[in-house]
Amino acid sequence: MIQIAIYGKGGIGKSTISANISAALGDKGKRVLQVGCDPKHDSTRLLLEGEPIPTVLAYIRDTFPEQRKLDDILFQGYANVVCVEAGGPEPGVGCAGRGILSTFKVLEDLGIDRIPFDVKLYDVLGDVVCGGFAVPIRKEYADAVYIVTSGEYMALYAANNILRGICNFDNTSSRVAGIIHNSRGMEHENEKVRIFADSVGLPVITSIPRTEIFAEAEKEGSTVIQRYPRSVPAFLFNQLADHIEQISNGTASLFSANPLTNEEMEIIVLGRDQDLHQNKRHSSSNKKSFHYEIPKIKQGFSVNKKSHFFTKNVKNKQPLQGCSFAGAVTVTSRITDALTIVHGPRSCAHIASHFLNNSLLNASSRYGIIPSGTEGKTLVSTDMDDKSFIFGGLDNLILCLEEACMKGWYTIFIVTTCPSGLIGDNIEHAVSRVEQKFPHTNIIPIEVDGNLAGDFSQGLVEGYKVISNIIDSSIKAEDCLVNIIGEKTLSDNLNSNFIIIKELLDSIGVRVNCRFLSTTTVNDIRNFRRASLNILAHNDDSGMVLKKLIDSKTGMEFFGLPFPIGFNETAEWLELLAERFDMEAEAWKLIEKQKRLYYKEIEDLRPVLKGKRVLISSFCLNLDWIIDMLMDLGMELVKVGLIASSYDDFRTKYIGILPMEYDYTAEKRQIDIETLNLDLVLSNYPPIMSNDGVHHDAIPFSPDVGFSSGLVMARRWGMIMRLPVVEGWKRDGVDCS
Amino acid sequence: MTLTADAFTGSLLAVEGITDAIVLLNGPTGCKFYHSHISDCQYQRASSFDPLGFTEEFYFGQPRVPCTYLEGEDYIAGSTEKLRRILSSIASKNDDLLVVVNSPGASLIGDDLKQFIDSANLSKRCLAIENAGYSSPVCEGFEQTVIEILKWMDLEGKNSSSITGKVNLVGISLYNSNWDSTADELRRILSFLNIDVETVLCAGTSIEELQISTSVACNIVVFPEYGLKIAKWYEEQFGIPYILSPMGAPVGYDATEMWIKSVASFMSVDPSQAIEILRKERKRNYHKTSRFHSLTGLPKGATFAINGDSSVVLPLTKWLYEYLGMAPVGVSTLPGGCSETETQIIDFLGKIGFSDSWKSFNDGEQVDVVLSDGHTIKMMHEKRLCRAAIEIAMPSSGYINFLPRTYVGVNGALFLLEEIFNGLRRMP
Repeated sequence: MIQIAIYGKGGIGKSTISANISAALGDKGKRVLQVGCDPKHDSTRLLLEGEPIPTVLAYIRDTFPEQRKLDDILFQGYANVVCVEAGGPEPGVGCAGRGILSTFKVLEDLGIDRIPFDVKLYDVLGDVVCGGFAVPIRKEYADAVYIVTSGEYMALYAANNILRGICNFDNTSSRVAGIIHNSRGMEHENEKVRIFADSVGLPVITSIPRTEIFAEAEKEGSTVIQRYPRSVPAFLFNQLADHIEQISNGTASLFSANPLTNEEMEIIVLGRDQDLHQNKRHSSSNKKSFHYEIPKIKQGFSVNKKSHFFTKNVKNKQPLQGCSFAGAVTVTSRITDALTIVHGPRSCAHIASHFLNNSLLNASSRYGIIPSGTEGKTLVSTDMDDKSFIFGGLDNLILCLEEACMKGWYTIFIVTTCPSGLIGDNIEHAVSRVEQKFPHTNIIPIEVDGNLAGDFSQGLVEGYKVISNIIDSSIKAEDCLVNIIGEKTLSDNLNSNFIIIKELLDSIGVRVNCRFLSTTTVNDIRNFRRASLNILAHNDDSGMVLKKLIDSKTGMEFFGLPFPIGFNETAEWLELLAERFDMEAEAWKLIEKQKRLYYKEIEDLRPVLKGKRVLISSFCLNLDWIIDMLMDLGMELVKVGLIASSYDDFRTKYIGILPMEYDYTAEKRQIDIETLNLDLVLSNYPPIMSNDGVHHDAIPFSPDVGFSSGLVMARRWGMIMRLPVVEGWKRDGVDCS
Repeated sequence: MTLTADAFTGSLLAVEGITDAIVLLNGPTGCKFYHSHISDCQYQRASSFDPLGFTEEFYFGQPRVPCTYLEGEDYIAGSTEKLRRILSSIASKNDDLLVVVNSPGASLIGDDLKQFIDSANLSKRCLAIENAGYSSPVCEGFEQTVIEILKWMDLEGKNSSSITGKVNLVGISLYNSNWDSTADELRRILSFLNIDVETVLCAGTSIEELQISTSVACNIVVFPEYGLKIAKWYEEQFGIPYILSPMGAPVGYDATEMWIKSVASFMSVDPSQAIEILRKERKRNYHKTSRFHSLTGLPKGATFAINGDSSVVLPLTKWLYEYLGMAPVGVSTLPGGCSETETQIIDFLGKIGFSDSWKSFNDGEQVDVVLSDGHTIKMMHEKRLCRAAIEIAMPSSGYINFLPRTYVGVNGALFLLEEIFNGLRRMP
């Protein structure tokens, strides 16, 4: 059995040639399978008296997997040639390349290989535009590739691209059978094709003349082999069939693919003068680039505003950590009266809901914050599958949207994933269709397309950006109301930290207007501007981008400090905030009370901890609250080792005072432990074994806020110093990886 | 309720269930982080989470599931360069089997994974799953990938009729709750029948065990959603027959007894010792049940809601109703359920006057006992919507088991009773 792929530019006559070759082979008694791999599914029409047949892709769309049979998609045509059409999506939707991949998989699954064909012939669309259309030239399919071309430049250009495609798949073996010249009747056409063929080292297997009999045969829905068996073209197709047989039995040669460069194509095929071409190439660098002086009045509009809101990894083109989709969903799913539709495969929705639910459950079991009625339940998926990948996923999205509208959701977010982005689903079209039917529903797409918009942090920003459009700019600010911006929505202590912040604010008579965004309603967002001040929860990279974004949208005042951790930060935070709202007296009262408690406990812990030598090794770059605690306890901080982090920049008031080491590693830490005579090592992930007599403890990634966070840690250290350096269980793992 | 995982997860965890195999994800880090996390939770092989232990390229600070971290340009130009590098990098670590699995996005690029494998001279230890079947049930991805691996291994057939006393357990995946305790419990029960388990397909299984998986008298299908196709494949390829208990998975006393009898009958062995052990446990625990019942009237009349694989839901619903007199107020099955089993559930509910309960599992309504995935049961428990919360499906609640715990087999029935009775003692 031999497998042949016929490639060529769209409209060049591949299908006619393929059908005639199949017919000729069939007449010779060969058992032939012809697979049409063009979405317009007309490859086999001439073998089937002009009748169209159901396509494989339509079949798999409409038939349950267990009910599928090969008989339903194979059709017998002229000379017993077995015909299959892959089919494809409507123009402009879905992914036809994915369709070819699926067609081959389905044919294989249904057992096409069990049928003893002598020749399998694949008729493939155009030049190699993507991986899907390249499937037939994969090694396990085509043993030989014929390239159909005319003498036109674009046809030859496509032929050359096909050779490039083959080269990408396999640049060692010889699999190209040669060129089939399908003449357009142009002047010097034979010569042009011959020159191209010589340049790429391929033979022109045959030249099919341009003649009316093709059109005549086509009118009757048949091949020229069938309708005009004694014609010149029929003779040439029979010769081609013989050539395939010769390849099959090894008496004709196959050639390797040696495509031309674009410059070579222009010189060889268009006959452009080489020197002129070279001059042009060199002179291009001297060409004056186009420049337009933007009038000053318009300059403000010409800035790419989006670039202001890029997070660090996206800006620096670092490997992306997580995906924008998950970041955006993390934000939208915190709005309690809005539904988020994940437009993508179920796995995307599952992953997002898994982490969201985990954080809710941990918040509940560790901090006693029980999820509200809708928390964790505002996410649905369009469950994109292979069918949606090929034909587009808009139908399912529209269904999903309509269902949500009927259930009474008035605000619906659509967050897109990689597949929906890659196949180019037109989300706006779906939105406008559904909004016509449900005019009172606000459907808001966030087209992050999986990680095509960037990483997790970028997704958070993209989510916030779209949601900030809900803010009503006509609302007037009221005194003593603040917004909380950019809490870590997946942290276990998200809500417990908020409760602490709220208590601090209550103590100075300030109330929270809107949490942007956590346990927030659409109305809270709309009334965002009722607050007179925004308080940023974290001033890390994504926090700062978010601040910039809100600032550009609202121009509202931001408080200068993020959520405070530990006594010193909390006292400063509260004092400054109270000053802003003229509530100093209330703040001082609370601070004094906390101060007494703080220093009393410090005095209790000092005898155990004073003078102990400490090393910090951390991914976290906000460490001042720990360092403050160490200082207040009289402990000796020997070094701070900072492990490279993509999210943050290190901020400390101790810079230049304490020994810091950047790009710290586990190996460096081990050397320091062995040489610095330490008592305590604080790390985000304490090492399991400690053979060095040094105590280890963990630094929380997401510390609790407020006056007592440092004290909680200090109490632990005081306790740890009196416990065994190596607990017994650790010895059980000495031979584990 | 938690949105369930799909075939993509099933496929990745099928490979991760093989002790000496590595799954290489051709996809973005967003797909990688979750699956490495789940693989590590379900089958812990590294002592520490410390990202500093896994700093090399493709691992992103995690011990499992290296990935090609596909990004914008890769989707256009293909992932050629990264695939080349990841294959040679991971292959140089050890001799483990390598399985490349495409993420949903990567499957749209159409990269010829086989060609990369061939050109890296790895075709003898590496295979590719180009399309794991997106949005289809998790069990489908598991079965498809296990079969692909078995096909690729080109196993040698043995004459199963001449083999006695050895079986495979088929259809246990890392994505089954407490899969390890389940396999141990079934091994224990089979040992009372003098039957050895050669291979568990595919959870905690070595390549060597897969290679000898054809040297068995039969395959026992534990959870048909995860194993029936695999068992049929063995039958078609090697003539190895399979056993499927008519009552579904061995959950609860009755289905476990039926399971034992089905295996014994097929293998022509004496079931009496195993059945005796089961019946002794029933007797031994009778007094506890009786005492509790005489004081409270319970568990009769207690309500339960259940959502799980159909092969678990059928025997468990019957058992809770028939043995404990509990009322099924919400009964649902997970995607990928066997339609015949679902029909049996519907018929049963109809027969006992609880037709309305079918497909009416509601995680927002009060119920005495909930049996479902770990997230749902824990959420209901935290919200005080139930008295007893029993995990019978993934994702896990995160409960850390030190004692072996499973809802399967004899010990599984005792575990269910313990959870139900102690739960019913609590106020909701």
